[in-house]
Amino acid sequence: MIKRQLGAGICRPALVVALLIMLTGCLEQSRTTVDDQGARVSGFDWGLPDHIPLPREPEDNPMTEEKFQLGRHLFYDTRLSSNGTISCSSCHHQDKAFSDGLAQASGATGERHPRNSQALVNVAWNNSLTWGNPSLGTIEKQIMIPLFGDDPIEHGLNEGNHEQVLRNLQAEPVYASLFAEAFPEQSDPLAGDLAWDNIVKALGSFVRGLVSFDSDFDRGTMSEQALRGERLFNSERLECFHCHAGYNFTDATTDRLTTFNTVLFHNTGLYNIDGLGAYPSPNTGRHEVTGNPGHMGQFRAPGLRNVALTAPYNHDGSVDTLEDVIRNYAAGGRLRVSPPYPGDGRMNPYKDGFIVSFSITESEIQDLVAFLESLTDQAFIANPRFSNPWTDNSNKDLTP
Amino acid sequence: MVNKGIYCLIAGGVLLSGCGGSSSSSSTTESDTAELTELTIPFKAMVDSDQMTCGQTFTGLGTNSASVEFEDFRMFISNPRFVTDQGEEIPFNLDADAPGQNAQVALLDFRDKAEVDENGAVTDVCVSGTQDNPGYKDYLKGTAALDPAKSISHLKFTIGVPFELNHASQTDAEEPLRNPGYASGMTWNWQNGYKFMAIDVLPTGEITRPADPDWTGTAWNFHLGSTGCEVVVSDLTDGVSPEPCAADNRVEVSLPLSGYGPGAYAIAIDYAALVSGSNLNQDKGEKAGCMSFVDDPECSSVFRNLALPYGGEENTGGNPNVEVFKIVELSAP
Repeated sequence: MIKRQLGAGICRPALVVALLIMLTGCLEQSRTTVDDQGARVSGFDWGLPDHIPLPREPEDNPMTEEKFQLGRHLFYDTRLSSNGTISCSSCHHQDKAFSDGLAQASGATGERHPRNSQALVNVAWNNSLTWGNPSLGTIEKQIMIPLFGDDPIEHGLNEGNHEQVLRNLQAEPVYASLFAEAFPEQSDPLAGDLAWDNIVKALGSFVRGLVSFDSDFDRGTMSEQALRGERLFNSERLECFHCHAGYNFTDATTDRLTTFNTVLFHNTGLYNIDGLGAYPSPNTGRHEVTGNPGHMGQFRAPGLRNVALTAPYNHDGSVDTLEDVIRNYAAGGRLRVSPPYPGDGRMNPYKDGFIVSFSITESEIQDLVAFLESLTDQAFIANPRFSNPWTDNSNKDLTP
Repeated sequence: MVNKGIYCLIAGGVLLSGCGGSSSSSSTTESDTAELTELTIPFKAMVDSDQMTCGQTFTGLGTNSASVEFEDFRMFISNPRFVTDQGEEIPFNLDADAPGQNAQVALLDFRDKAEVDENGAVTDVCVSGTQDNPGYKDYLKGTAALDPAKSISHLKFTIGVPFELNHASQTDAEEPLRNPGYASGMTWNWQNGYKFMAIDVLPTGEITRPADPDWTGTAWNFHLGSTGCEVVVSDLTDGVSPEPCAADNRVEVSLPLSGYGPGAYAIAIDYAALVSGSNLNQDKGEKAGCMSFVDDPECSSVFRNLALPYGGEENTGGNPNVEVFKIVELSAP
């Protein structure tokens, strides 16, 4: 069934005006590449339904099955951490749509991450990555953060251990052929000058290939209750669809047909610790990167596919259930009366214009949750292509 | 050199006929008597009058006369050049084959000690190090077309990684910008770039927060880098340069040579002067120390000492970073 209307259509006139300004301005620098010829061309079998446009692939890292398979092995390999304790899959479990069920996870050295581990679902279409970082446009750049970041320490790779970590990977017999197949143009892709570049590109390829478009919603097998919830979701009363727009249910979506990129972040009134709109540090969202006071508390709208599997919710995991997420929106923000971080988020001056509060009955909340549950893709979380490939488990992550 | 000059003109022409944007052209004219001279410019990491070394405690620092041990002391230098007494700039061309530098940028690493394993791999740098740090680097190596007929009055350089290199891929970058590699620990991935300067110290005694009696910290870090970099849209668009950062935070240093001839001087970087207005056992918010962000209470004083604008502060008072950067006699300690 291809009845879904793609794209949200908000602010269309503004976009057109902006586009005209851009066109009369500097074509050389601001032209967005639109390659209709390449819209359906890829060296990778994406396995997408016909109505879903292909995501962009980085020019320097086009998708291949070989890189995807190498990345899958690396994703589940704890040797890719300072002390062999964590892999990517430690915080990204397939059965939870690659989230981890925790409010906040800890890295290899036990340091707690201030934010909630995100699900990895159709991230190939995201036009920004992580919860609220406007400086990250590619998965490859994002992957450097968990691997090499020191604030917080996640995998804990650094100048004192990266050579040993690489040697540990080189000692794994399976990798010789996987690297050779993934990077056939290189003579020694696991030991040569580009070994780490290859590791990051392979991990990026695997994560980019985590594709989910096979839910009840996609198959047209939604329950009556879920259909009622869908109507609520798309209603002007609830306004959900403005930010959770399009086929991935986020306005932060880019594909090969996208001609104009707008990177969007939203303050949803979760906090207001000083009465002036402040979110608790360091989780100030886009503001943490830009320092712009107007960006306080702005986060990227997460896609909603498989969202029923990814509790707890919001950037810091501070909301336990989908019902409570909906209640916060119904209230036009969150009022916290007790610590930590009390304050009236409903009055946050930086709150997005679509967080307007609405009346909703308890049965309507259940209808809406039923709709969100209809976005769960059982084939995605059971897909053997995305599962742990290691059969010998000494050294590898046993996290489900 | 003549050929190179022509290329520069062509490149400049292309830039000008290109689209808007900022054009930063430095015109250099070379007379017939200019000779390409090989030069080494030494640097010294100082703490007041003592040279910084790992594993040693330095005392009397900042507003609270703190004692500290160093964890990190590194910085990227780019665009070094000489200035004649007539104001003409003569580029110092970095030798791309020298360790720790390429044609555009050098990574100075003043951490003199490290732990090195049996494979020759560094396993720890500075704090617990007992061997020489193989990455130690305290000089720029290169050439300049010096003309005996012209008198060099100043040396200028930039602390920072040039914009186009700052936002490129790090895993296949040319050293010393490779991560992992020379630039390990000098990257600032979530801000999409490099730390231009990283000087981390462990003060004796705890770091405390006046407003939070339960909080204590151990490291007072200074990380300089570009902030407010929203480059994501451009990143997704082939062939389009990223947009500039809100605060580029590159430090322009201009030092009078004070009569020293080539080979007779070094450039001293004085940590004591850098933190002269800071309390190294106190943190008033955000990360302990200064991480270059607006609203980081510890940044105002450090940025002022670097002559960098910070937040709403203009910082136009001459060249106050000569307190932090000085030309000193090479043989001085």
